[in-house]
Parts: sequence; structure tokens; C-alpha cells
Amino acid sequence: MKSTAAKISLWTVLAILFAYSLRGPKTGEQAGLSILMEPDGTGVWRDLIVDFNREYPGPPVRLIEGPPATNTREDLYATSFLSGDASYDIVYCDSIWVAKFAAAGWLRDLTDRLTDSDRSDFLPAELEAGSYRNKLYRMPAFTDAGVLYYRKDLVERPPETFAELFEIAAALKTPDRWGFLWQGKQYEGLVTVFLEVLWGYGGDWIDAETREVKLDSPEAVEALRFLRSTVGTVSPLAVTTYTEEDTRNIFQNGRAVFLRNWPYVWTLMQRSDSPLKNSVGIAPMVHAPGQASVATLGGWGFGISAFSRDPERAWQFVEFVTRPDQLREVQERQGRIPSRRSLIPLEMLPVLASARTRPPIPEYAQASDILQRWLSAALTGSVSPEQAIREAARETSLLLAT
Amino acid sequence: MRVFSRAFIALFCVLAVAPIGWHLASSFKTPGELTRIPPTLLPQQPTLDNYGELFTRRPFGRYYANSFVIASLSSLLCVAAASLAAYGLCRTRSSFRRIVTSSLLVVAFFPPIVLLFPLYEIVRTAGLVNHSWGLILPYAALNLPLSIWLLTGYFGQIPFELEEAAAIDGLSRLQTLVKIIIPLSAPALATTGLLAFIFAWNEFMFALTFMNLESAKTITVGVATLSGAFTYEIPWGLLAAGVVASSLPLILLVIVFQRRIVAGLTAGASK
Amino acid sequence: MQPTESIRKLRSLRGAPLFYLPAAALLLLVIAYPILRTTILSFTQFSLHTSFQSEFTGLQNYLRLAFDSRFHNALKVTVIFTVISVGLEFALGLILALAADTFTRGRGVIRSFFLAPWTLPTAVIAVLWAWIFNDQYGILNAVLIQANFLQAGIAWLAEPGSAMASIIMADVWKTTPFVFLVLLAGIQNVPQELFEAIEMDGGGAWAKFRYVTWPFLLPFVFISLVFRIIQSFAIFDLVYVMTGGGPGGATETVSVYSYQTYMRYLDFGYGSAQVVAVVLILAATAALLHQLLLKRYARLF
Repeated sequence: MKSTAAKISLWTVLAILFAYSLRGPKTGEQAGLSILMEPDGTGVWRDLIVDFNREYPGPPVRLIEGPPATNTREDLYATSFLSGDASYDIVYCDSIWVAKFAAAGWLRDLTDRLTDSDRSDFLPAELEAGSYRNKLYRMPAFTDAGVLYYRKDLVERPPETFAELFEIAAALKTPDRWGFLWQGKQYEGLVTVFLEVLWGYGGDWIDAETREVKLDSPEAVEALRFLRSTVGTVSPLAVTTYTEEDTRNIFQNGRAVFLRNWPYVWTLMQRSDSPLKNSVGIAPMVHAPGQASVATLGGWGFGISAFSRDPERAWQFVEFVTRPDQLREVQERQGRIPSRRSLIPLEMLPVLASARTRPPIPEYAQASDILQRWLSAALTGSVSPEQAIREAARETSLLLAT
Repeated sequence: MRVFSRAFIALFCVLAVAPIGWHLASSFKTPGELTRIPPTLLPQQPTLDNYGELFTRRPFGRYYANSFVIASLSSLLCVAAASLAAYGLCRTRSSFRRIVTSSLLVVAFFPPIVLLFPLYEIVRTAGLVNHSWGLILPYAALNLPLSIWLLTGYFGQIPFELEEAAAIDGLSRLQTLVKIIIPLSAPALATTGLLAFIFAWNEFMFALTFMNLESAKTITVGVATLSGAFTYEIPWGLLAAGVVASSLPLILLVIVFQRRIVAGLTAGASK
Repeated sequence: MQPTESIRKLRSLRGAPLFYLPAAALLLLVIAYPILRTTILSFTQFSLHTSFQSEFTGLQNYLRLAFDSRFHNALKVTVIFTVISVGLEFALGLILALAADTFTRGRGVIRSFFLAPWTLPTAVIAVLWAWIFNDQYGILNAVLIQANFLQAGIAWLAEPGSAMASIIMADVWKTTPFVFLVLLAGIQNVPQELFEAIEMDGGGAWAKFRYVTWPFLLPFVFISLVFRIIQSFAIFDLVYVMTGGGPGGATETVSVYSYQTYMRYLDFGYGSAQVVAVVLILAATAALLHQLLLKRYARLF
């Protein structure tokens, strides 16, 4: 049998374990506010936060550098908010998260905080993208819209229609140089590319007001057919594995005539030593005859968590970081385009002004995943474009059925 | 034939352990050496940096403490509850006993994800998210079916005369359990507790969902989410160190308690 | 209390209810109630759209499931994974058990070696194998290239086929020990006389296996097979940590899809329907297996 000493030590161990288990998670939590951001390669966010903490004494704002993948950061925010904890006070928010986070009640209403001067300075599309059911939940910061880059030295006048684009790309394609590059991997980027083509044909995906799925249409099939027709002809077979960086690198090395990508490529090219700097032009995305050119709007902004214990301080930071001076600093160091009209470079203005948001529905992630899968299947030849559009439309309808 | 068998077993012994050994070796390599092609076998310039970083970059000490506390308390709770239930069961009519054990076994048919969301609701409502007890109670419950089954079998083998003698001495049933049965069943209790401990230590899905704060994570979740926390290059040395660090306690358990563990796993087979 | 009274009380056929209380409370709270609630939720819409209120919608979720190509894909992936993985485990486990039976000494050492993979957390095993399968710095490619089986490294986790193979390999590594131990224990329980009888009739190793070992093992094989199939079907940790279901959903098993549905899409009603559908499928499979193996079992006698 056990000796008394052994019994006592056993019970002591048990008591210690028990005491430890009763510790709440908040013990030793630091004061201050947290924001989860993308990797801060240039250090500009760190500097801005230091500036803010210095100019506005109070509980310090802390930067948490998250992983580069936006989906992962979205999930980090979501798990934290779902359990109602205040891990993150300020949300560095992608446009496609706004509806989901707002519908879930995770973001504070900022409508009344917006000044009139800001309302006229920010791009209307960005304000709309940061709203849900007519309430503002996200202050805009940066804007993105798909643009068509082309080689000025090879192409006199940028194409306006899909047919023209294909023709010129085919004519100028050589064994060393592809005609047209775009992002075809199965991810959100593919959806942004497809939407530009779809809208360019006059079609639509989802009507956010009525939750009606408009995808099942001849325009959508044509749009998908167009993209499919480029694979292996004017675009490499591997285009179905490309993301933004893959295509930018090829284009920047002079091995493509046309590139669909975001504005950041322009900034990077201008700053690089690339000999092609001056041979690159920007044009709006192409469209079908009689239709208008529409770019997909992407953008980032700042929201405030509904669970934050110091929302006033959080707003102080959000207001500070979305001011023109601060946005300009990020623009200079990172190359992103601010959402303020006063700061947008002239050559970008027409494209950004005509950009359209993706449907602001709370189930956006699900709808996008459905579309991505079917687009990818059609692009790799596993199914026909008709079937892909039809099935995607049907699954999305079942998703959105009330 | 015998030689072939021996060689075969020896080969698989190596295969079973080699991957762990590879991580052990990798955990002492510098980042430069880890990215060398072709890879080196043993570290040429061994370093403890990876382990150091493990405890500074992430609250690994907390992870260990959390896992240890959660696994110990849940297995103790499980064994206690299971002993009581098993004692009650082993002395009942065998048809009733069979119904109960069969229904308990049926529970094993449900993938854990069936329980995930409602449990999350309960844990959240009780304010136990990011709290040890948010996992201790579920783990204790999840190990009950197997534990009750094991202990019922073992208790059933204890001669009834002992209990009769205790009754004659005037002991209540509870006293009989604590003073007579439990001490006699030490091996079975140890086995049950061990298996419950290992399960709780290794569990991932509930721990991932219920614990999102760094200070609350268990070591299994901590290691699995290690690479996701890095913004640039994936730090392979750090991951290897994490794998080794989280596996070490279990390997030790295996070496010391190997017989017990096997006895528990094969209880059905050896009857 | 009189001695005979207490003995009579002891022999009473019901155990005192209080003994069952703690276990029953835990089981009810953590297992029974959640199973019930998940089943109920499967008939509701409980999502962002309903502002996180559960609204009864009958069979709508199941209808949606019927047309959900991603669910069908997940089922396919899970079935393929289960069949190959469990098949390999049992084949390997059996061969190893037969081989190990010949050892009289050193059994403890062998068991320790083989137990190591089984005792490690599956999530950690996923991290472990991901590093081994790394296309540039992983040891597997290095070994295969050195041995001249490959010219260039395979991007194991980036291609659908090889990603599946990687998951299966990691799983077989982890679970073969369990099968091995159970079968070994079964083999060691075979009475020696039966073997001697075969020997006297002039039978060799194969005859011993076919007429003695195998029939004896069958019940153990059946039970551990069902157990393993269910576990394999429910696989989550390994896939979630190693590939996340990628590339492009090629390794997405049903649990991973359901987890996404719950935690990323916040579509709780639909996720519940998925989970219930899987349980029904498993129950049907178990019943089918029971029928099949029972028939074979009977035939041997």
C-alpha cells in the first residue's frame, strides 16, 4: 500500500493541476488593441502604428502579422469572433468579408462616423463595398480593379473587344512570347477574372438584392468559352495554375503581350529596373461589342470588432490610418492605390470608376467556392462550359434559397 | 522462413521509427543545412536554436502545461466515473449489462464531427471557450465507453466472495469499491487511465475549435498550426523541433508502459 | 445491518443508481444531447442568412445535398481513402503479426517500436509527413533520387494523385500498428493442439494458416475492420493539417468539408445534414459488412 508521503504528494500534484485548470484564459492579457494584418514586408504598418501611438497617447495599438493567405486570416478572425472573444479589436478587412462579418454581427456600425468630406473623397464603389444593408461597416483604405496591361511597343491601339484581344494575341504570339496571361488557378482570383469577362458580355452572377442567381445564361457560357479558348492557344496550358505573381513575372520578363492583373503590377514595374518599363500600357478590360468594360473591384479597409472593449480608441486608429497623409505613405512604400479620389493616379481613374463589386451577400465564400470549382473543371476540360455554368447556377440557387 | 520473418519485422521496426528519428536529426540542424539539396543525414553543425525559438516565438511552455493538465484531469475524471459505472454494471443481470455495453459501443460509430457543433454551443454558453474545462469534460465523456467496457470486464473477474466478506464486515457498496475493488484493479485502472490520457493529449478537432487563444492551446494544436503562423519562409527546423517536443512525452509513455497500453488495446482479443 | 440482509442486497440485480450518475451525466451532456441536436439541426436552416436563428425547413438540406457535387466528391475521396488505407493496414498488419508470432523473445521491444507511430497525435504526424514529402527538401524525394527511382522530385502534395498517396501512406504508417497488435494477440490465443493436429495430417504453414489461424482470427478481423472503417471514414486531423483538402479538393474528405461548412461558411444546418448523411451511410455499410462476413463465417463451418 502507498505510504503517507506518497499519498500527500499525489494529492498535492492533483491540487496543483486542478488550480491550474481553473485559470481563466484572460489572465495576463496585455492592455491595448490588436489588429491582424497581412505580412508587413515594407514595415510601413509598423511605422504608422508607432506614429499613432505617439501622437495619440493611450492604450497602444499592437500589430499582429498574420499569414499571407487571405482565406487563413479570414478564418482566424472568424474563429475569434464566433467565440465572442476580443482578441482582435480592429479588422483589416477584405471587401468580400464585409457582408459575412456584418451579417454575423461582428462589426460595428460606422455610418455616423463618416464625415461629409470623406464621403465625397472616397470612391462610391468602395463605400458601397464596405456597407451591408445600407450601413457602413468598413472604412475604405485601398482599392484594386482588374486592368489589362499591354505592350505598347508591339500593339498600336489596345483592343476593345474579346475578339480583337484574341486576334492580336494570336498574331503576336511566338514560341518565346505568350499572347495573353491571366489567373486561372482554382482560387478567388479566378472568380475576379471570370466576372470581368462575364460582365463584359453583359451577363451577371448573383443579384444581391433579390438573391437571385443570374448565372445560367448564354452570356455566361460565352464568357467561359472565351476563357477556355485561350488555354493552350494564346495562353499557356499552365495558365490554369497561375496566380497573380506567376503571371506578373512572366510578363515582366517580356514573355507576354497582354496581361490581366491588378494595379500593383504597374507600380512595381515603374520602380523596377525592367527594360520594359516604358513599353507597358494600361487599358480597361475588353468587352463584347455593344457592352461596357467592367472591372472587378477589390479592396481593403478597416472595421471595428463588435467585441472590442475600447471601440472609441479603435475608431481613433481607424480614422487616423485612413487619412490622406497616412494612405499616401502606404501608397509610396507599398504601391497600393488609396480609395481616395484625391490620391488616385489619373491613368487609373477611369478603370476604378467603372469597377463593380462582387455580390455583397453573407454567403459569398460559399458561392465563390462553388463557382471556382466549376470554372476550374471547365477550364481543364473535365466538363463542358454549358454543364459547368448550369451546375454552378443550380448549386448556387440551392445555396441561396430562402 | 524464420530468417525472412525476422528481417521483415526488423525492416518494419525501422520504418516505424525512422521518420521520428529523421525529425530528431532535423531539429538540430541550422536553416541553411535544412535547405541543402541533397539533404544531410546527421546534423553537421548541431544547434539548439530551434528548440530555443520554439519556446520564445510561441508559448510552448504553456502548450505543454495545458495539454498535461487537460489530459491528466480528464483521464482521472474518466476513470473515476467509469469505475463507479463499471462496478454498478458488473453486478447486474447480464442482459441489462449487455444492453448497456452494446449501446456504449454504438457511440463509437459516430464520427466526432457529429458532436462538434452542439458541444461548441454548450461550451460557448457555459463561457468555457479557451478554458481547460471546456475540453476536460468532453474528453472524459468521450473516453467513457471504452473505459467502462474495459473496467466492467476486469471487475467482473474479481471473486464475488471478496465483496460478500466486505458486506459481512458492514461495508457499504461505495466503501467496498474504494477499499477493496480499486486496489485490486490497479493494473486495469492504469491501463484505462493511460489510454484516456493518450487520447486527450492527441485530440485535435475539438481542441482546435474550442481553443483559439495562444495561451489556451494544447500542444497538438500548437504544433499543427505552427507553420500557419509564419508570414514568410516555413521554418522547417522549428517544425521538426515542435514535432519532437510534442512527441517526446508520448514516446516515454510508450517505453515505460508499453505492456499496459497493448493490454488495453487488445483486451477484446485476449479474453 | 444483518449479514444475510446485506448479502441479499449485494446480490440484488440492480446496481445502485447513484453509481451510474457521473458517467450517465457526462454521456448525456457530451454525447447523447449533441447527437440529438445535430440531427434536429439537419432539418433546419441555421446560418448567416437566418441571423443565426434555427428555422425549420424540413428536408431542404438533404435535397441540397443530393445536388452538391462537392459532397459527392468528398464521399468519393473518403471511400477511396478508406478502402485503400484499411486494405493496406490489414494486409500489412496480418503479415507482420504472422511474422512476429515466430519471435519468442524481444516481443516487448518490437511492441515499443511499433507502438510509437500509433501513440503520436495524428495532427503531429501530418506535420511530420508533410516535411518528409516536401518536394524540394523532403527526405523521400532525396532517397528516391539517390536510389535512381526518380529523375526529379515529385511534388507530392501539389498533385491530386500523389497527394492522395501521401495521405494514405501517412495513415497506414500510423494505424498498421493497431491492427498488428490486435491480430497478434488473436494469433497468440490459438490453442497449440490445433496446429499439432494439422502437422500430424501433413499440412504445412499454409494449411495451418488456412484451417486454423484464419478462422480463429476472423472475429477479431471483423471487429477491428468495422472499427477501423468507421475511424477512417471520419478522418479529419491528417487531411486538415497535411493538405487542407487540396489540391483543388482532391483530398477533401467528408469531415473536412463538413468542418469548413460549419466553421468557415457558418452554415450550421447544412453542415449538420452532411454529418447525419454520413452517419447513415456508415450504418448502412456496417450492416452490409455484417451480412457479408457472417455468411462467409458460417460457410467455414
